[in-house]
Amino acid sequence: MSEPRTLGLDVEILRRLSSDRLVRVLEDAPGAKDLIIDGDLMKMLDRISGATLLRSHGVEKMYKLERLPPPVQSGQRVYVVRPSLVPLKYVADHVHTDKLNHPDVRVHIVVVPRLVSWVTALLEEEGLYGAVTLHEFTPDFIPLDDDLLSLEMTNFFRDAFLEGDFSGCMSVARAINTLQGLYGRIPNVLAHGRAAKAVINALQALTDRNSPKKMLQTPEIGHLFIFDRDADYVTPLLTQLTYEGVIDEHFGIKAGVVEFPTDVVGQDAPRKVPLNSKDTIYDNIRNRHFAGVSNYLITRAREVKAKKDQAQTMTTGQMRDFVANELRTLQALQTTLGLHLKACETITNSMPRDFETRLGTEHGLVTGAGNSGKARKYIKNCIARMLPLATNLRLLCLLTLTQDGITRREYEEFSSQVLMAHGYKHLVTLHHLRQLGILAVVDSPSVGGGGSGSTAPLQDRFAQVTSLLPKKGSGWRSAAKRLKLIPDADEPVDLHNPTHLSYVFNGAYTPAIPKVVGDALNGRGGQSLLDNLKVLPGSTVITSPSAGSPAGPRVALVVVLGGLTFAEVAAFRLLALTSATRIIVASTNTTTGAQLISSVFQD
Amino acid sequence: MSRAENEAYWGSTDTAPSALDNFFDEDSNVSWTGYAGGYLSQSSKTAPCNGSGNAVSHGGQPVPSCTSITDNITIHSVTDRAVVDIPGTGNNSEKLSKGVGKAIGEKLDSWKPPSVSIKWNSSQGQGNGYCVQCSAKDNEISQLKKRLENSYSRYNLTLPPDDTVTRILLGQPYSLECYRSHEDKLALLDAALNTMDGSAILATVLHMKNTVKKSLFIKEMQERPHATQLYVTYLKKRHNYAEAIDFLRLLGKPDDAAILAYEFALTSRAPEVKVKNMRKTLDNSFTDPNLSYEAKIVKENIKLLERQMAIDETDHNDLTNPMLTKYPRAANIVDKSLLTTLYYCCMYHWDSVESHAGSPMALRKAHSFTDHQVLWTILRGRARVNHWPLPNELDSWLGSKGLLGALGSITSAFSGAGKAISTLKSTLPIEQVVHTLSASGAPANVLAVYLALIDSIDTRLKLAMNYKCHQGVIDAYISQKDRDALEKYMHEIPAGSPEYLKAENALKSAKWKN
Repeated sequence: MSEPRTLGLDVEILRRLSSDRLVRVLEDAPGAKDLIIDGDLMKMLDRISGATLLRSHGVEKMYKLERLPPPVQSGQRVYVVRPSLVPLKYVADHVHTDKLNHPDVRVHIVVVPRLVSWVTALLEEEGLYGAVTLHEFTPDFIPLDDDLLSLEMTNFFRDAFLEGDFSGCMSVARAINTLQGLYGRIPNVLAHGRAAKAVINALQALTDRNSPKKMLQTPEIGHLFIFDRDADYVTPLLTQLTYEGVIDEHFGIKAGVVEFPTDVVGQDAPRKVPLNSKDTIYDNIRNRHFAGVSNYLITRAREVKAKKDQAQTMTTGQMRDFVANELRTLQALQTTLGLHLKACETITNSMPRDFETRLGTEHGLVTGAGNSGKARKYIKNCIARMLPLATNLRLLCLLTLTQDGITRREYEEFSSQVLMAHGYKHLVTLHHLRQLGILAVVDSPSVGGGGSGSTAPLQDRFAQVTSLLPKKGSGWRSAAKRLKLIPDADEPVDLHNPTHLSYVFNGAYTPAIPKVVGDALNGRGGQSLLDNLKVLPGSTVITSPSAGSPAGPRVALVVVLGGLTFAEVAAFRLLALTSATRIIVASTNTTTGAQLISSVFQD
Repeated sequence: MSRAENEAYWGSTDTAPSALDNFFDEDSNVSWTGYAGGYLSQSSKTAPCNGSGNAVSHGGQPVPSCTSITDNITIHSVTDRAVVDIPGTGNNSEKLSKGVGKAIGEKLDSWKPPSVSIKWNSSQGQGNGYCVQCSAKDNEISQLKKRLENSYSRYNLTLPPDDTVTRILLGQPYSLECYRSHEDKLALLDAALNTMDGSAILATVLHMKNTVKKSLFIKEMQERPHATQLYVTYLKKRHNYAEAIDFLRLLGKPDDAAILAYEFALTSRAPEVKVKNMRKTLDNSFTDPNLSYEAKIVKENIKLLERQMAIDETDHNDLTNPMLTKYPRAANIVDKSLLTTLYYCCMYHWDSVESHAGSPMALRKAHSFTDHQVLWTILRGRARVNHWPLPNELDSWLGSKGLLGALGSITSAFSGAGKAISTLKSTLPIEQVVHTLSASGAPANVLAVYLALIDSIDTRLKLAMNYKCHQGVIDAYISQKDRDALEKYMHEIPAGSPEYLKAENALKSAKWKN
């Protein structure tokens, strides 16, 4: 531990820690066992351990958890489930069914990431308390790359921000605590938001139990930043423009792996491709503005081809050398280049005809330079054309946020059009989006209420309820102004050799979280930053190193709760370069605006 | 007995003594020490001192001689697992410092309510010499005795709420049984709310819900929106909608209650049941005037669902409609959105009379569509069956509905066309319409008509070139009076085609600038 890590932090160690912990849980059910896994956990478990590892610890068969129980073959079954009602109900039904025919089978339930109180209560209600053995498995951050960690908690956003269930924050705190165990207690902490507060609370409960010796370890991470997704809803709502972001929006990157469809890979079956810095080509293009990617790829492809062409004129000796050393690399490069070129082409072809209009509308809304009447008309047309629901809502939400909320009357007009296009049942979805504050409506006093006597107290109660929720949306424009998120329109932003974080959105908008982190890291923190943070929902927690103790190196861990977009990851990577800080970005999950919105209507 | 249960047991007991500390601390001015000392020594006699390291966690265990029936089972398994050890371990300074209270706690733990008085009496009867001012002390003792008797139970030795909440947070065994006074319950709930942890909050909310009457529960919840939110989510997840709706209503949140009631009505599968449930919901939950918009939506939903059922019944085995055989229905229309329904009607019932359930015109009149919704849907729906209506055919769909609209459709051939085109132009982005039409395979002559609606001739030309719509290009050049360009373009047009002839004709007759 005391040995200095000259190569910096090795985040790969986290994967091993998680896998060891999983093994320990499996060994709590010693001997042969069958594993029945919640479908939503498969990706995450896959990233932590392989089937071989599981088999070497007694796992014989693995099943996906479904309504009907799989055949009983070994004396033990281990269920790995999320603390969620449906999977738990399935498990309970399985146990009851299996009890009839196989009274001897022992059942273990591993709850991931946390055994919350109501799970135990549910099993008790089912009469299973004591009949099954309960375990908890909390995975650590899964390294998707050297600088990107994820907990793969895809339900976090809905749970925390819509339903107010911050129990996932404990798992985040545990993961941060593990990092602190490895790299020492992080001296500077800046956390903002409700979920961030919950993480800090949980972290406090955990560190109180740590041995004091741990706390004396020289910190290898100097700064910890924790932010809630609702600190910046505009970023996910905007169309992403970096290559990685575009890939995520078009094909979906799940736990660092993309599944390219058949027309990209040119084969009969889609192919899964891991996307990370190990692929040098990808590492070079991931953060580029999409408009510059194919040019870069073509240039590189020409270089490779030129090198291969040189082989034509080589002597036999040179040729032997070339074949032995370079040829393979060049061929691999060529394959990768080909793949990404094809991906670019597929994306370009599938871009909607009005892509430019859409982008112009989005950026006009954000900068305030656009005509919002025109934007409203454009959105109404999009809704009438029945573009995908998530696409339409994304734009509508962006409109409402950037207008500091729309009036009730306007809300009724927009929403009735949305409901006509996508189904009345989405009245519930719209209600949820309003609760989140991502669809901002300024409730004006009773419209057409008929002036009945009960109206006034009701309005009061409404006001009371809304005032208890963090004020969101209502002051977006002033927040953007205070945090300087809208770059000066007269200052050109170089999209292809970026120096300004706003390049990820064509220079129209700077993602708020990287901006705040940048301000803090570059010494523009202090009181003014704290004052500025007040405009964002939630409260701020700040910790500075006690006098005399080291301030820690220029290594920062940034945790975003509720989903992180690749546009933000790209901005953080640029920030790391410009601020000479190593930045490790961690999140509950990587996300896109479409995913964020869809998580509200999936039920 | 499972391990977990065992732990739960230990968990609740090991904390008991410190709670007692609190209990006694409140009465610190009472000179307890004398008695306590007596018990301390007494208990150290009864409990074998073996210096076991387990003492910390099991310090509060009853001595084996305990006669409790309820505790018996537990104690059995306990005694073979850990040895009870009280004061002599000395491995915990905190414990020593609180030794007095602890010892009493331990002692109390082994008592049963009926025996309390006897023990107290007997201890007094033993006539120890510490008490001199007997009457005052006696008084105090009898008061405390009462209090002890009343409060005595293994479970009401309250642990500080923060400690219990931390235990829930960390996944350690805990018990909430001991929080019986209302203040304790509130303190516990608020401690949980402070941590913001969903697991802790829900556990404490449910504890309160199970132990206080409804009106009191509602009152406390009203002041704690976060707890309310979690509780409603919990009820919803357990599919206990009825209670959740009722709860929200009592809480004074008619809007949330209404939305939830609507959500619940939609959970039923069969459309007939859905309609029935929505009707009921409308009567019960949407009466608030502030919800008039939402109520309107639910009514629309009912209206649409009923029409969809009628359409489906007609189309289900209709062998006379050629469209249904030519384009087999991909799915049942029931439960689809209003625009999808219009699309469907445009596909299958374009020519149906208005009295037919599937008549698109009847649907258009029944619901308040906007013009652009109607136009886009017709264009897309008709394109699906390879029919591309010209702008003047769309006239009857625009503007006012009802009689006037119907009259308009009759006279459209004469006067309506102009109105339709101007409305169309102002309603739809024509460029996007051209994209859509072209993507659906519309023929060039149709495209040309729509292209002509684009004001900017440059855009018109660009699009016409892009979609190889010769007619459109020719028209654009003619209006630009650009003879050279048209002559050049003639090479692109297949000779002898109608467009070619038209272009030739134009070159001869039209006015040109060059």
